[in-house]
Amino acid sequence: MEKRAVIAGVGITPFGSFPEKSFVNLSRDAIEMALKDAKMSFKDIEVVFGVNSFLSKSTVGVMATEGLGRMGIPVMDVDAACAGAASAFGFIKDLIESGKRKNALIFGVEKMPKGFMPPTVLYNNEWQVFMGLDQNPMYWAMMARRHMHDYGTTVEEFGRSLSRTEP
Amino acid sequence: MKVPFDSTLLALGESPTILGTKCATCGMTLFGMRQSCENCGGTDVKGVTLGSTGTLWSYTVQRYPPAEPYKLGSAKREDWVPRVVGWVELPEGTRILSIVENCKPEDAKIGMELEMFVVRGWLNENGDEVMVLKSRPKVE
Repeated sequence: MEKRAVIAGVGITPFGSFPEKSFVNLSRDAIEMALKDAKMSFKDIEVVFGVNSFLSKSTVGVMATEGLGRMGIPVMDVDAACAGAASAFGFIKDLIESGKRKNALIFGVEKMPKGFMPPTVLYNNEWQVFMGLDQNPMYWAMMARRHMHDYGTTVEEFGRSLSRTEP
Repeated sequence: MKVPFDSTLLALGESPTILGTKCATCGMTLFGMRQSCENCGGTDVKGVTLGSTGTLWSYTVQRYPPAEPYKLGSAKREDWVPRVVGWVELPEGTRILSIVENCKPEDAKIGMELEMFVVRGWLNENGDEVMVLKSRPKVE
């Protein structure tokens, strides 16, 4: 029978402002929940992907998991902005279905700054920042407006899809 | 001296030219001089000049000032006037991200005719005038 990767357990911390918690604390909380949900312990894990874009730290995956067990497994960071989790899941799915690994852990963690995301992190073109064309939501707004124009999508419909994503 | 905000995107001279690249493989025309095609990865590309008029493909109203280092004016909250920002679709199908001048938020409309124009943006570290590309409603 062909191997199929499955999600064995999940965990998530609330979204909010937690100045008293480091990214390691936040990661650990979610990882422990996921392991418990999967009825596994960290020593069952054979590969870790830590997803983030804004922490400006090297080896976020290692920092978050090094206290949980040092089994000599590969622990890598994935940065693909909004596509980070999807990219990590795609890789891990292939890895597991190839039969090379059995259990993997993927976690994502972020501590976002107040206000808009720092433009010089997001955009490589200096002029785009100098001209102020660097507020990430403006791109989603323009795509949404075009979608409304092309398909007649309404503000209420966008609103309903947002309300479903609230925790 | 006047210099373009990005020499791969804009050439100055008597009449400024918007630079583009056409891909022979997929047929797409891209903004700026390129060595390969951003759409299909093809390397059979050639430099072209893009038209300077187009239509508003989509837009939004920028109500909050951008973060520093903003160079077109004050980024202070109390000085900021909401402005229209949009993607201008040129005749070649290429879309350029642009500030839309001379257009009140309530007057912006998808499909409206616009012209691209070049205007002084800021001074660089050599004291050169950096010229930027913006758009505005086409005047008949």
